[in-house]
Amino acid sequence: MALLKREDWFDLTRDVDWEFTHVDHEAVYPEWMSGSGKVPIEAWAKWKEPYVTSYPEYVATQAEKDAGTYSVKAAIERSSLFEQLDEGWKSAAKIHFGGVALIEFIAVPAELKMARFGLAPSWRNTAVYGALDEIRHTQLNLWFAHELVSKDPQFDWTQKAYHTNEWGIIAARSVFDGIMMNPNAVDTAIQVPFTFETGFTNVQFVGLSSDALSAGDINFANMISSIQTDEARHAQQGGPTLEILMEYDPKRAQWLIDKSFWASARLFSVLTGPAMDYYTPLKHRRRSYREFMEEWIVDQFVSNIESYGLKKPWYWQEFLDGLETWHHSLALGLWFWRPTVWWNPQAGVSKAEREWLVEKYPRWETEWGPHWDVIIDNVNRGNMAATLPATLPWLCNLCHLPIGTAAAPRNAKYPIKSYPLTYNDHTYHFCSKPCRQIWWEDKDLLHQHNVIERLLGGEIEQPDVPGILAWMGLTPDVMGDDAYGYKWAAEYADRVAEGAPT
Amino acid sequence: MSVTEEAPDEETSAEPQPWPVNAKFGGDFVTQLVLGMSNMTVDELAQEVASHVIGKRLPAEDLPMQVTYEGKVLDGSTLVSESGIVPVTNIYVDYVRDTPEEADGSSTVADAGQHRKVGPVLRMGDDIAPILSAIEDDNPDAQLEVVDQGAYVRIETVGRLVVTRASIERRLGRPFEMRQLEANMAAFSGRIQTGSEQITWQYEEVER
Repeated sequence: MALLKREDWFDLTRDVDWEFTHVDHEAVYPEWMSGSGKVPIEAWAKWKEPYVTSYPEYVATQAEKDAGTYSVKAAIERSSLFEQLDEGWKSAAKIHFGGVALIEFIAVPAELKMARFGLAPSWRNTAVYGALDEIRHTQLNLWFAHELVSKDPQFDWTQKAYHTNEWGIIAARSVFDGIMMNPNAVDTAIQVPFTFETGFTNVQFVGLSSDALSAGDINFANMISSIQTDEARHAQQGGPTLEILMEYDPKRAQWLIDKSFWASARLFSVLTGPAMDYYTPLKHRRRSYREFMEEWIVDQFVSNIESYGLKKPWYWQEFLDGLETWHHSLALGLWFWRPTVWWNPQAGVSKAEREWLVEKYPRWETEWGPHWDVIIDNVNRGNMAATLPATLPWLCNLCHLPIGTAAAPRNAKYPIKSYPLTYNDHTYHFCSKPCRQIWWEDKDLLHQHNVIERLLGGEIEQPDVPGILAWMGLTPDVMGDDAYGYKWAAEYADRVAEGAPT
Repeated sequence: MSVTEEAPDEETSAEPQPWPVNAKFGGDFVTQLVLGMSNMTVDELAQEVASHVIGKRLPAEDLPMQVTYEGKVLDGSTLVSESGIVPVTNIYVDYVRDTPEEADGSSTVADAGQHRKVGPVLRMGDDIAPILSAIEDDNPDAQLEVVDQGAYVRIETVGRLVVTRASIERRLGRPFEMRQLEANMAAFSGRIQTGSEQITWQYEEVER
């Protein structure tokens, strides 16, 4: 069938719009949903999508993509590939499924908000594809994990996680409520397609796919990299929106990028960092988390924002320094508080792994080694009670991650401390100055109580560790435990025998 | 860590009150919720903080401890309720030692800044090699940088990169619609322009 080239007809349709006669513009595109701000409404007519697709093209391409992912899944389902995967790697996959599957679903209404309240017809058109994309991603994640539930109940958290008060989920929900659910269409376009989808999702969906394939998880690698081909397209809603916003309100554009970048970076230090540097088996690690972040964020994203005339965020050096510490802190915390997560943390501190960590992160032994050594000796003495928590870390009122995890022990530049702020007689605690700053400016959008406040406020019926775990939805069959059953500690057993107290 | 737990009523006339603090023990890696009581001494509160850290994440040392609150070292024999510590604020418990043990925390992460490279990142699949060849055909003068990470291959150059449908068809040996590149392209650097016959990647400099 001979089809017209897209260029020969597309301009007749992509920009179809009409003027209202029975209602005014504000009634159809209310400011609180559309968010034009200082930009005059007529300026949005310039909005032009760089990554063009027509509906027939969209349908054909998406069908081909789905045929690719689902046929690989069908073939692998009949093999024993899953059983052969490393337990540490499976935990990386479990974090992804539980942490990401329903974010994909939250992204559907975010795209639909732009499809309805976006201020240019071409933008609304592009966002429709975005919403359809995110439905596909939700379905892929839920369906790919579903067959694994019968093999391992922790995969059930793909569906369940977002409906719980598990602390990591509270952190993720806070970020995505802040950048996707609460903001107007313009803010959403800058924070999600531009900042999150051209920056961070690449690290999780493309970077991690190389670790996945290397670890033998062909199905997972195929699924996430296929998802990202959609993102690469619909993320292009960000650029044209940013271009127009930069013309009329560059300060707003910079702030939107600065705060959503910081929140995303904090979240990735728990979502992605430990999976890459601790859970992926050593011989299958393609790059370190820091190297992936340098590739996708430090190089690629910064070139992108600078090309629009934006500056690096004000905390840039602190972010760079954090690539060497944040996720190590979280990996240690995830392991120590392992009953509070729905996967089995891999300690990742065998002698060979520690050598790799020091090679990639020169200060690793100074900062993290002493803590792991105490843990290792407790494991080898059989003193398991000492390897488990009896209280919770204090959590940051902005990123909801433990206070201390934006810093490092024995580190003069970023000491372990809280950055408090007393406001209306209530003391809030923050992990870092940027978190405190963002909360202060945006407290109306980002004001969620953290787990400690809920605990002290009496929201948790039985305020001890078992009661908190029950409140978080963690049942004994899914509660995290060491991925390798503590076997990795055995190579240190001699050391304990030498100096062990009796 | 039970908020409702009844503490024994001692000689103080008032009921002992829970006294939650955000506590850090020197050398540890997080600050934690520690539930003190109003009728504890500051030293007892320090022991309570230490019990969550010492022997768990830090070794025990034969050194005295001290509590610092708002920059001042507190008298260990004072009752928590009279110590000036406000509930839900920070306290710092440390072993008393002479030398600080902190190192410089500067990053060795390279801040690459503007590298201005452009081009596609192709995902795992059969067509990576022919598409790469097509890109080579279409950009004879470009210095291409190809990084193979297994599940993805990054193809980049400085400035501008183009790929045409005609070259891809020639290299694949079968018909190809430009839209089909999308299924192979997980990401890209630079800004994209898509057409039915070609796709380009480049940075349009914005002067302000």
